[in-house]
Amino acid sequence: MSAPILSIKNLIVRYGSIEALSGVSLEVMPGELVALIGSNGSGKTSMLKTISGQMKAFSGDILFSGQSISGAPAHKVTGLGIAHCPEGRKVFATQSVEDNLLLGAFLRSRKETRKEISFEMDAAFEMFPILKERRHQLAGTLSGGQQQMLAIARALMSKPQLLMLDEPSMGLAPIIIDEVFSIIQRLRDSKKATVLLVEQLAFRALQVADRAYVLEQGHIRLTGTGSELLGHPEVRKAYLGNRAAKGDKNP
Amino acid sequence: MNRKKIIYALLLLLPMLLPLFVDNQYYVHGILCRILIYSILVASLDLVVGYLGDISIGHAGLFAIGAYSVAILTANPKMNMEATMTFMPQIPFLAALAIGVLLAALTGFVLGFPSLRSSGPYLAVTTIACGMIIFTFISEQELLTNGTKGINLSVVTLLGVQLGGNKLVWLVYPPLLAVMWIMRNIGRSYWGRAFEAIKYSPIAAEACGIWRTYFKISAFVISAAIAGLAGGLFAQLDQYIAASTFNLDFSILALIALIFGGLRSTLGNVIGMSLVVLLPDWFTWFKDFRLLVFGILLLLTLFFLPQGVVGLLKSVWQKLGFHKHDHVDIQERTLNLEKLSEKDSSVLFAANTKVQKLDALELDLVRMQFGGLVAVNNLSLKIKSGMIMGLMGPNGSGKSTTVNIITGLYPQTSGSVRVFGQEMNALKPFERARLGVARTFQNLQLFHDMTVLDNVMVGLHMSFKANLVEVMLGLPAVWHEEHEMQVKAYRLLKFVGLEKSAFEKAKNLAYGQARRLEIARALALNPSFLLLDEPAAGLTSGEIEEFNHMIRKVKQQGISVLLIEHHMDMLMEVSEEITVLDFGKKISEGTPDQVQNDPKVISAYLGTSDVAVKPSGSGGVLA
Amino acid sequence: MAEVLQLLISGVAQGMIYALIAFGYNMTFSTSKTINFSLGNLLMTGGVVGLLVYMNTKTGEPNGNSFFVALVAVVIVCSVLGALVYKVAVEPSVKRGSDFAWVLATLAFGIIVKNAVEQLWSTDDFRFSSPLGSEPLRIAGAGIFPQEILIIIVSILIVTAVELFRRKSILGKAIQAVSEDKMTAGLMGINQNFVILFSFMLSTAIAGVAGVLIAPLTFVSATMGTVLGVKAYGAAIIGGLESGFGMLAGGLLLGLSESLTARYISTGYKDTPGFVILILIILFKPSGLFGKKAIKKV
Repeated sequence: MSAPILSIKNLIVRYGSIEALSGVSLEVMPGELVALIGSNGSGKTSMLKTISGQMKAFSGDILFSGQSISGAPAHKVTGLGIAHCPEGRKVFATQSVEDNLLLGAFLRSRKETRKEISFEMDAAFEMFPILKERRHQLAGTLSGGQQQMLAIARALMSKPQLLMLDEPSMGLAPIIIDEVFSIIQRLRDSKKATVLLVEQLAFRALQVADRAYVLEQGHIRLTGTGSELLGHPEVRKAYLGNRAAKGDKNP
Repeated sequence: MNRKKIIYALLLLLPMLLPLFVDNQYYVHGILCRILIYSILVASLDLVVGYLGDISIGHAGLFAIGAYSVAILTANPKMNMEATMTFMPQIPFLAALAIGVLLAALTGFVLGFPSLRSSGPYLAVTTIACGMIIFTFISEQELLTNGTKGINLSVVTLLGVQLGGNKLVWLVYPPLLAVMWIMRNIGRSYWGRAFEAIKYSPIAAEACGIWRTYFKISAFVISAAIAGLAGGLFAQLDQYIAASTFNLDFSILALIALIFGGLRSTLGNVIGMSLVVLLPDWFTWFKDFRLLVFGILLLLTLFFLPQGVVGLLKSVWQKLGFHKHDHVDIQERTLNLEKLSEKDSSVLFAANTKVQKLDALELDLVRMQFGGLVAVNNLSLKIKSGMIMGLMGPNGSGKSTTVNIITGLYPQTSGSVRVFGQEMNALKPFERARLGVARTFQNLQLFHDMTVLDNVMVGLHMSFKANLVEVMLGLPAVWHEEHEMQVKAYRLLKFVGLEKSAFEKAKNLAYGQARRLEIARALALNPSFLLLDEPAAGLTSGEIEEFNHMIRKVKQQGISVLLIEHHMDMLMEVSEEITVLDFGKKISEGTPDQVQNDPKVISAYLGTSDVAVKPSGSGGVLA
Repeated sequence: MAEVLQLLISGVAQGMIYALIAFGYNMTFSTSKTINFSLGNLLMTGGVVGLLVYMNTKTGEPNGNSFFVALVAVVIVCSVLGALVYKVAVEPSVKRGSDFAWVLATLAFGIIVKNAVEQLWSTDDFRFSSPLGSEPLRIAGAGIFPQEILIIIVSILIVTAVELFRRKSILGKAIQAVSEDKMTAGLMGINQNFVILFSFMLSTAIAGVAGVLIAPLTFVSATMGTVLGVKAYGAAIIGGLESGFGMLAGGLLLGLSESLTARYISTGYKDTPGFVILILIILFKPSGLFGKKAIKKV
């Protein structure tokens, strides 16, 4: 077994005086798609934000390719090869689709030529033909689903070793969610990058994930392969409360 | 204690003796009187900057209005032989002063309106503009003001005493004392708290029933009146005024003095201005470098002495033992409140019995659209009186928007909101609060720099009966009411278990405590309908137990509750009925058990539900 | 007709100066939500540095150095001052988390600069000759100072260059990204501290150039910047702080209202219409003519 690309050890994260994560450990192997699921407020987003340097850890360690990255500012972490596609998409609404993609390759644009960058851009357009059609449109005028695709494409522009997706389904209609997850599946199959997927829609995430962790109130409650967890009653309990499990027994 | 007060009072009167014993005019007339007059201006600025948190760089204009009113109305034509001005009615000084104060107050009234629409750097430029317009007006209107040549005045005689030379102290010191007294009384009353509440969170202030427009405009009017008073007295300082005095730099200097001295402290106002006047006098070498030194001192004060010199003095005083330490003082006050609260057994909060037969809430096809985004989509909802209704849904499903529509923060695009049978559509948030609708906020909206007790006192705002005049005069009835409310606030803190932190700043509370404080503040409104927006977010399981207990007690008092919560165990346990939203639409409603097993809910929360139907229960490691 | 043309040209020239300063306010506000209230006094520093390099202050004649050298010197000195105001006044205020301390801190910085120039250099007014001469050009019967034409041309060049830089270069796009969403910009690998510092330096450099441009029309003195800075801030609010185009519109509106009021009403009241417009804007459209209204989230 090879060494994990991302390894989190006993991570504690606090917002002022609330503990968002209370000692979480997890590992992601190269080429894997790992899902982190859990209900609202369970600490999923805090986890990604801490990895990408947007939040500071209170204690614990984050190792990326064996190197500690805890405490590094966001712009440094990105340079190391981690791309974070944030919750709520956060495309730069007042800039064009193409500019958004160029910004995704911001760090590369210092060392690489326009040509090398446009290679990734073409790849992105191939994966998301709709973006090519709208390349000169302002990102803010795209539909929610298109913005989500742009956000993923933008994250891929930095040629990351690890791609972190935060709630790619949020606020999207079910039919669009299908599309987004088929893209995530394609990403996994193409082995382009290792993926850490944070998702509230547990069953969706488990269907595409190699492995998953269930987060509840800042603790990891459960871990296993995607298919193992799919039918596990604890998963539903983590979302709809304890009575949900009882409800299963006495419908 | 009382003897101490008498000694302080006598000490305060000492400056009145100076004219009797000192002949040299340089210090008493030239410096002291200048400090006294300017300090009044700084106090007026403090009301806007310190209490309301609006930066004004235009108070020189208000000061000028007072000064020019007195100068024009009292000027003697014989002393202004070559003047271009034609209007010199020569009315008595006090009448002219009163007119000056009124005119300044009127300007303050006008100046107050921009402050309703904007704040911070936006408002600052409006005050600059007002100051500049007044400055231009007095420089240019030579027929009225004699322009840049200025106006000469004669010495005022009151009660047969000529108040020239050092005797000017008798004219300017009593008004300063009066202003200090008024400012102190306002600062310690519900008026001062309302100002500060508006500063820290206008939204929460309105949710506590504070009529923001009224209080902001009042603050500007009072502040302007005091600035006008200072200006009117200033006209007598040199018995000569000219337009060039009242420029932008003068406004900035007053602001610098205010920051030096320390905000929201009458003593600080005087100390700050004393430094600004005295430093260049003591250190003559830096007279020319005065602004440079002030600039550097201002930077240092901003970064290292956020409470100003008065804050520094207080801590030195405490270290030397001349002043009670904060923690001793707090202990005594807490103990005192504890004793009083034990004697008090009146009902703390209960639903208004008149409205109890009506439905607490009725939403009829409410729709909220932000641009193209439909946040709430034709939602209808009914909450029976005295019921706890849970509201759940994934992120962005429109829960908080619904609360904001009910409390009047967002005007709905269409549909109607009725609370206890009354149509709410035309009512502002503070009016809804007065009808018994109280709320907490998803993102805490505490008045973070005020004490925990004061936060609840703001919630009690509507219970205060004293009017502004009584407050300014500091009548005994006002303090009686204040103490009564303190006890009530303390009892509310006891209800949520925060009485030990009563005198702590709200910003120092732990997260769970802050959530409880929001509830105490909402209960202080004595509401009939309570909306709780994620009250348990970030609470530990122990705190959630306490919270459930608290909510049941609230229900016992007949109060209807709308509870938004992501913490499912808790929501299911305390709610009698639950409504589930997704994409702004109601997708399910019923008892907790019904909702939990509704496939639509499961699908909205977990994605597709079909795969989950057959529980395999195998695999996975419980961590 | 000739007179109107003359008034329009001088109004536009004055307006462009306001627009350049307002552009500076817009730049720092968009990246850091703070405004550098010392910009007027840094404009003055630009005028003074330009004067010292280009003019012989004893004779009141150019000293032989090229005007271009003066501009370069101004850009360098003012960029350094821009970095200084950020490090000394703005960053400490923001770090302490106080709401508007930066307003007072940047005001204080401006006061310090002004008083320092007065005391270390001079409190007098100095003449600054236009590199294009002071003989008015006769265009369609109107007398127009060549410097006014220069101001208009150079300002348009600067505004265009900055806008092109913002839109076309990757660093410009990065600045836009920081203005829009700091957090996400960080995720792209953009160092926001650097971008903010850069925006302060760029804005003060432009203000410095504006100081050199306006100098031949007024005089150079320690007090030349204060009122310009305040009025340009008014222009920025009128146009809408968040909109680059708004800065231009606000500046021109103010410049033209001044030159027309001075001619047709009274010189003494030339500033008043601008201030009245400003107050009306704050009352009825607080986000400015071209600003967007934000939805408050609770």
